[in-house]
Amino acid sequence: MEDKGNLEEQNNGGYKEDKNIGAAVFLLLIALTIGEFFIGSIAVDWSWPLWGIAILKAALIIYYFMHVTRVFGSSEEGGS
Amino acid sequence: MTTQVEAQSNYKFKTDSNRLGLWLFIISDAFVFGGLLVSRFFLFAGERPELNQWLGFVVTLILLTSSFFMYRADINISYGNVKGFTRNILITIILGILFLVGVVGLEWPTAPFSVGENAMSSIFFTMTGMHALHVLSGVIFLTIVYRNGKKGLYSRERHFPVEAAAIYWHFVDVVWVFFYPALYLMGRAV
Repeated sequence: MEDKGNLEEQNNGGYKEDKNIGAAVFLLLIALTIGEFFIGSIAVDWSWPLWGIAILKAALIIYYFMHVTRVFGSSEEGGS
Repeated sequence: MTTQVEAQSNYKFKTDSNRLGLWLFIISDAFVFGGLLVSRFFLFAGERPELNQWLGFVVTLILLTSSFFMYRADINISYGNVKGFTRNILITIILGILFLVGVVGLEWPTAPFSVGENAMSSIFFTMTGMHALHVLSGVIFLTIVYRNGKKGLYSRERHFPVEAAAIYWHFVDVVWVFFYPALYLMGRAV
């Protein structure tokens, strides 16, 4: 019974942590998109910063949302 | 007991194989979009079509938000929260449809050219059309997963279809992360 309680507690901890990571990544993606929009609006010839932002955003999504590391070490259970 | 362990081990092996296969598919599909991106810069390096900037910005935010809710759906089912999973996946589907309405229903009719008018219109409609087709198939995929989730087919231990739908949906988002600046922000508007 005690083990079950501990497991649930750990699950809740992990769940909250995963949710917080998702929210932080999402806010960062939104901030980068706003930055991208303003760079694109004010500077016509600045394509390199836009490429940099796009690569950073893609890396964040692939690492945190797509869980690319699961391909190398499986973890079906317990979120990320 | 042994049979149960064997079944779990078998499922784990299948999941690992399916996951690898899915990523190989994602990589091969990425080459298609990569080719389109290269074509866009090869044909119009320093120019871009005169498009509605605010619409492009808003649909990008919608797609990013849908990815966030898909992530939440994935996390919820990973911890056995079926109710949270179905709620979040439903929001993802609605946002996916909104994105399609934004691009196909609003952007296409107001674009400064028609289909096949010139090389720029061809590359614009091919890029956004190919992407919209992937969004549409993603919405269908998510709807099937949502329906199965409602039927109680997924659990904390067995939910690979949800993970597969999530990976596919995030991939569609990653493609748009590159398409958005390439079509709306980079180069001089002509």
